[in-house]
Amino acid sequence: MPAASVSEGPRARLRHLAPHLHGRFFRPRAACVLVALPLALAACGESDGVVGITSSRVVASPRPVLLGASAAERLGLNPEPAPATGAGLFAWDVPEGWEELPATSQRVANFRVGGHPEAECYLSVLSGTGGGLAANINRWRQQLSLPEASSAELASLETIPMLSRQATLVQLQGTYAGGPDKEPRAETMLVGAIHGGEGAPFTIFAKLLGPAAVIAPQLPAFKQFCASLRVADRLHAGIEGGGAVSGTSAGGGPGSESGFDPSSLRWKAPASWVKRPERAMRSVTYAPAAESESECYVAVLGGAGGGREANINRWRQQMGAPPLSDTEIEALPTIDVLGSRATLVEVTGTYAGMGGEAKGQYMMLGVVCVLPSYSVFVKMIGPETEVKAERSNFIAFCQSLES
Amino acid sequence: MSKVLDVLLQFLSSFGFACILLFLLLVLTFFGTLQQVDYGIYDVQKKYFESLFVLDDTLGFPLPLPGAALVLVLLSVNLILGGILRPRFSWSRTGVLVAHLGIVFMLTGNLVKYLFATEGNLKIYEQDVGTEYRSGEHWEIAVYQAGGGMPRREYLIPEGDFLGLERGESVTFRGEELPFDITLHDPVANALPRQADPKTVPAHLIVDGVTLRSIPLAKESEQNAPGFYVTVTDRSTGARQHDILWGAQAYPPTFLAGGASWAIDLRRQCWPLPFTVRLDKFTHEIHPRSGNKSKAFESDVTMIDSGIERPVKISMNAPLRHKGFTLFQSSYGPQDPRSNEPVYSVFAVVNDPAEDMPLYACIVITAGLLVHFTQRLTRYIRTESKRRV
Repeated sequence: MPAASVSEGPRARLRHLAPHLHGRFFRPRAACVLVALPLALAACGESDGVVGITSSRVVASPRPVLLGASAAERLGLNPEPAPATGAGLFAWDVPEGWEELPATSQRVANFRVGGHPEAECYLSVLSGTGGGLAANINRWRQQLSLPEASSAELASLETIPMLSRQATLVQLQGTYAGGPDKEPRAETMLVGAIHGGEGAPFTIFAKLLGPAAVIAPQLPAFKQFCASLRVADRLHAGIEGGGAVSGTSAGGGPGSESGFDPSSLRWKAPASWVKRPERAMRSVTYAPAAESESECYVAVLGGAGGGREANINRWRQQMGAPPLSDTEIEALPTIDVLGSRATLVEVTGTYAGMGGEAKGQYMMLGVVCVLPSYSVFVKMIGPETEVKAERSNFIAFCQSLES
Repeated sequence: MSKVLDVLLQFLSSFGFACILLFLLLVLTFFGTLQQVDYGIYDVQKKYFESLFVLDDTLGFPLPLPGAALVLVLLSVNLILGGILRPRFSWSRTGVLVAHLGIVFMLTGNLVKYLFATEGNLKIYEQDVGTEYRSGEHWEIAVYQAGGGMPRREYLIPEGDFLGLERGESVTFRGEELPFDITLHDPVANALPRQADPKTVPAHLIVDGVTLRSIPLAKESEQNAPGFYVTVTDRSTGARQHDILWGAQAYPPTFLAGGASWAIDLRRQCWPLPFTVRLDKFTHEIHPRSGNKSKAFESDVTMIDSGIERPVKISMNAPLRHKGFTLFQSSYGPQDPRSNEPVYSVFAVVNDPAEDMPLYACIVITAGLLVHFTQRLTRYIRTESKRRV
């Protein structure tokens, strides 16, 4: 290849050095295609204003999920303190001699046991299998400087009742080396219960740990604690045997003081009404007919549920109606629901809805029943003609509620 | 026309143009540093160093400047053209050519890092394992079955598809394997959820008695928590469910569709590690009599890859490197743990395919300069010898 002379321009020199590159360098048509092609490809991802989800990944990491939680709970705004429910998931009976400590990000329940600073019991919840039974048991064994358990040993472990099924019980004793101060502690006892299994939405770990002399006598209390675990309010059906409960189960919960037990709430729906699929935050949802736009549902909230006045005015706002004063709310009609006088709300107007979509000529019927430890809300909303026709059915439905 | 191109190429390959570009880099670095007083490092980096053009106002008036990305591209062009066109090819200039190639190699490494590297944090509690790390700046939306077992498929929406949404706009997402559509609307750039007050009209919609409040944007953009209203439409029944997505939510909203519970999770973008890290023990030393001042902290971890376990100690100056990933000991928590409260270690994770390119580039540049200076020295000695003779 002849050397390019100094007097030749840069283009000429380039042409000499790399003739094929020169040709490609200065082809405008090729450049136009190179510019247009990415633009065309970018436009291919959308169609009719809908963007396709094309990326996905398989993961093995658990994700913390609170099934059926309200927006306030998920976003950390729950105004009513949850009665010993640990992040709103569960409720339990605290054994005698156990001191309840604040929950942490890893422990939904946290106790000091027997008054001893090194004796503790806590409850953790992990999504899915949480790593599996064998892996967790062998990890606990390793923490106590014990060898791994064989499959036969794992299969022969005792089970105890916990949340409507049998949980695997583990009792171990050894030298514990997993403490925060890193000092090995001899004669340490660990009692653990694992509730979950293949296909479970999450796995619950109850762990009792401390000096053997303190922990050994606490074994019956630990089993009692595990047996007392129950699903708290608003937890969607996700635990086998738990069902779509709408409150704490009987036995020691706040509801027992008033005689009202949300988990045993029953009703008699009008014969023409059709039951709709379960939804978060609702005990039940009905529609006047299968293809009806209207819906009627029951919701139970702990405590005042935000208050009668606040909820009535929030409903009125959804219908585009001005708020009522306390005096005006007192003057609203009432009906008997669950042995209490419940306020009946009737509003017509334009329903703004939660998605901001306005629906004109809508009607809302609502009942707010405030009980000592719970509030029961029954709400029906739909086209004015439909809801008006169902008014007597709605009132009968509310009055049929019992526990 | 050909004369114009000749002049243009002459200019682009000139030494003077290189000086102009280097001066512009100096100016951008200076102005960018001053801007960090009022704006976070992430925003300044985006504005000055990852853009093609920037309108600077450091001097009190708008000053249009080329962004560092454009300057570096032009510098690369200058180095390539200047290395091909300007020098006369001779053995005496081999060293200079090699050094130029080394610089181009370094710039290419930076481009690869910019396009393909990921950085994030991995937080692991003692006796727990970590398999993925999260970005401190970027977001994504993940959709997955809430009640299913593991492993599980997550459907991902990158932030580029939703973060630029303006008030009044909405965007709908559809996955062929998902039985529902997801519509995001009413975005809030930096949101704080609050209980809706029935006595006041909220600025944004109310869902379940909760509304999003817009709060001023934070100086450091990674401190902003965006919020969106989400509507899920079941494609078979047309039923709609509404909820709120918030960047700092404790739990994602869940809903029923297609006979299963699903979650839509607005979260920091996360990437999987090709191996598992288990934190066996975290050790923290405090300066004596300093109260709480950290002296050193390190993590004893076990790296598990394809069933093979390897114990590793990660400390401040001793990261873990494996399969292109580097884990640095970054921080820990809680800062003042109570007795028996679990502690966690935080690792900064970097995956940079061009991690070693700067090193190789420096070796090439060094070699080129050594060759050049050796040749100059030899020529000088020869000339001096002849002159004396």
